[in-house]
Amino acid sequence: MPRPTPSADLLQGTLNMLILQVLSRGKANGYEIAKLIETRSSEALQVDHGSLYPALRRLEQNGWLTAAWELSATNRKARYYALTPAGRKQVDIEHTRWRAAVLAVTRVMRPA
Amino acid sequence: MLPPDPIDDELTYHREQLKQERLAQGDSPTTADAYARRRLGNPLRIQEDVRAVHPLAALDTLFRHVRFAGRSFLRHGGSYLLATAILALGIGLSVAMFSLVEAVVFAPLPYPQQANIHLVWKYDTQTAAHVVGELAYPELADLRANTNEIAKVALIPAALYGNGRVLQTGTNDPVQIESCPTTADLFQVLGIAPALGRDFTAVDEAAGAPSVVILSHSVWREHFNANPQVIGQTTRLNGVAHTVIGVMPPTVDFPRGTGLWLPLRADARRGTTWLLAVVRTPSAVSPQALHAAAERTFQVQVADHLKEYSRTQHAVVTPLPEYLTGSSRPQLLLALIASVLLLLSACVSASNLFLSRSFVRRKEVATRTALGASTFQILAQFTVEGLLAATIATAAGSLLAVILIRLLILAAPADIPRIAAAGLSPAALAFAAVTAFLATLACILGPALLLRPSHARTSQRLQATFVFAQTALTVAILAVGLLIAVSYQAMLRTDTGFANRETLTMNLALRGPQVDPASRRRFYFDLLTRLRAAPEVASAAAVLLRPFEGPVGWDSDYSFEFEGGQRDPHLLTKANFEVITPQYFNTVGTALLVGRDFTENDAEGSERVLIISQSLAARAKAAGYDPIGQRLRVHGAWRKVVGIVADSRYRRVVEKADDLYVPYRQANPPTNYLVLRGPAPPAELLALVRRTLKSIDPAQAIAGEATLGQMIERNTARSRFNVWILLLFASGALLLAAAGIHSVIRESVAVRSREIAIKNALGATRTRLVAEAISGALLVVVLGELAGLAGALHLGRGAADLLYGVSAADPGVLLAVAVLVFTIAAVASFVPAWLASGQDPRTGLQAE
Repeated sequence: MPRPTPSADLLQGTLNMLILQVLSRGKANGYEIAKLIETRSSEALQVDHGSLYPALRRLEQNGWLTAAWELSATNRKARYYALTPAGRKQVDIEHTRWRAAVLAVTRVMRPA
Repeated sequence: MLPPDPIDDELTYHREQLKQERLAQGDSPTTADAYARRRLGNPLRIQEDVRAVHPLAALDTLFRHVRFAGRSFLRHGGSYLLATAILALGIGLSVAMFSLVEAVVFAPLPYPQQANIHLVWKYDTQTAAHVVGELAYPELADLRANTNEIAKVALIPAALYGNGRVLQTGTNDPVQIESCPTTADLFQVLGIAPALGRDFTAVDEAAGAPSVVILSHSVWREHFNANPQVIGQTTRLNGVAHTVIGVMPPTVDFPRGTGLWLPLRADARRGTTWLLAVVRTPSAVSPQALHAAAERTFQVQVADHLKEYSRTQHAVVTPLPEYLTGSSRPQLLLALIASVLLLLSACVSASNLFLSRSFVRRKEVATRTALGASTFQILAQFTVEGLLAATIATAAGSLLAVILIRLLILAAPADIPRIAAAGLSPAALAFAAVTAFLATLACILGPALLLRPSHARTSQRLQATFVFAQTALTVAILAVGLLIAVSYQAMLRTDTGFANRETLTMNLALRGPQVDPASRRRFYFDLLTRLRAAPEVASAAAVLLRPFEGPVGWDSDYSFEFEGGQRDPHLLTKANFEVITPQYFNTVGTALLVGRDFTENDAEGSERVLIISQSLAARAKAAGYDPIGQRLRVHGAWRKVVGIVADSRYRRVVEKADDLYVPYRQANPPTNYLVLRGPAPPAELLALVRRTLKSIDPAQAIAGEATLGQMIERNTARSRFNVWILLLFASGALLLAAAGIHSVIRESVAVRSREIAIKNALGATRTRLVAEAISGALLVVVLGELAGLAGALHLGRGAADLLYGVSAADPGVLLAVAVLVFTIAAVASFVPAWLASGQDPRTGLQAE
């Protein structure tokens, strides 16, 4: 069986962060989350739709997300994920961590 | 089980959305659907991953494996059930045998530091037979001199029979109770103090000391109502007042069956050998050191007391547990080995069944692999399936063992010590756990090997190994079982020299302060005269020690007059010594070959006479003398041979000895056993004896009533028990082996059905097809048989003591086993091969 593509692999650690960030704008279902990540990155980031759900479960277990069945825009039942207060705090933590990481990488990558 | 995860619905929704997206872009529904599926990935994998996130995921996985295993059990039910049942049977039998062996052989005795307790006795290399050499009272001091090697030493009788005491309490009928006269230190050697009262002291041994007795716990309970005030009370034993000084705790049963312990009175005669020494060594002293010390002592005895000791006497040191378990030890160990072999065979069978099942399931495995299951997951699945089977088998096997233990205890001969205490002890449960582990390995091994890339050849080789192992195990068990069975048959066929098996025998040793040789002769003459006059009785007699009472008897030195001059005084010739009344031979059915029986006229005043057995007579003849009229020196007196009787076996059915018979009116040793037969059945004879006895001397008691047939039966009971167990195991092994090779051949022809069909279509004869199909397996069978025979030979040699009338290398037995196992293997493999070769070629070709 083919495993996730290399680009998705690269993002494995950051997927949680992306999900939290997307949800900080409001609740969304699994499909919407995947689509939002893809469109916001101008299709640069291709989410492995399959790996989205284990990640969602993990975040749910950490108490950062809640999920509930609601009617979607197309009037179908979908499971919507929303941030909890702890989740909102986590978004801030992830932001700080990300900025620090980017800064570090940028310094390393600066032309000599 | 975890709460259901909504993942399925979520994924469906997600897939729908992806599809809608493509439909909106103008794709056909099929393309859109394919895109959606590809984009989302394998739903099974996602489900797995989502589940794995859950904290209880590991448990859940196990649960699902078990459920899957259960389902797969139901689907492939027959084979798995069979495999589980075979395992359960193997586990049940081996755990049951282990429990018996554990209780009888391995369980610790109640005595502290039991490893330091040993029995010391003598073995005379000249007599060769298994004679328990006995000691006399003065040898206690000889042994005690070894202060470095011996901390405490006591003497006990080599056999309890003949030492019984008649106990009369209140108005109850007098009862004979097994009693053990012993020197003062016995309980200190054992390391157990009386539960009530005091131990013996050296003072109790002195001649003229007040008579005292220590009670066993069971005698105290049964005959003294467990009265704690019993200490200091007086009770009558053999009509003599004894003061009860102690009661032992219930754990002490030594020598086995003892109800009363009495002080052994000092006796300076070195010729009165009837005792064994029980020794406690200091912790640092090895049995070898003790043996060396005893050997030294016994050699000094020969030098100091020329007349009493033989130069060929040697010390024997037996650890206490071995002394107590005696010959039941090798028999039980052999049965345990056989049961473990059977368990291994059961494991091989189960493994084989699991292997063939997994072979059938290789498609399922392939499908699951394609669906994303990893090798690890499949292996985990097989492991759980194996564990499930092994767990069920162990539980069922343990249950079976509990039942089997009860049955075996019921079937076991009464003389195996401690067997009644057998049960599922912690050690037995540990043993069961080991067997369960073996069983699990057996269940997992086959399927796991199939996961390897070259599984087809691996599995073939594995199955050949299975057939080999199973054949070898079966041959080994069967050969040993058959050897023991042949030995038992030989025992049954043995002419013991006692033709009248219905003759009733019983202990009637006269007890009491007034009993002396003269009064005993009067009593027996009176009793026998009255009994012979009764219409129920055909003949009646009395004897010193009845046949098969035990391994210890009155072995006496003797010498022929013509040998007298040449005999080395240090080489003593011994023979079984019996004191008998007239009509004894006629009653027990020993043929009088030459000469005459004793009469009442062979009395004190008349010429001293003797009857000898045929083997002794043959010795005289070999020296060129006519035995009749020859004189023999027995017990220090010369006696003339007046008759020759057929050889008889008095100790054990499997043991020959020479016999000397002396008339009761010319001997001081007592007649202690009554023998009688009649037209009336034994029960009526017994009632008659009781009535007659009461009218002559109501203070006397009889004990141990049994017919000669029962005595012989008891003497061979252990062998019969062993034969039963071993043949049971052997038939189990045979059945498993037959089923094993049958299934191997059935599968190999099923796998090769296309090949067989093509050959068939091309005109191969059926005989050739069958030969091709089974020759390989039968070659493996022959190799397995060779290995099994080698094992059986080894095992048989180790158990040579249990064989009688047959050797471990008996070609007849070994050949019979080899032929039988081969025939069964041939038939078991021929049937499926023959059926397969007879199939319509079209069926075979269309099968796949």
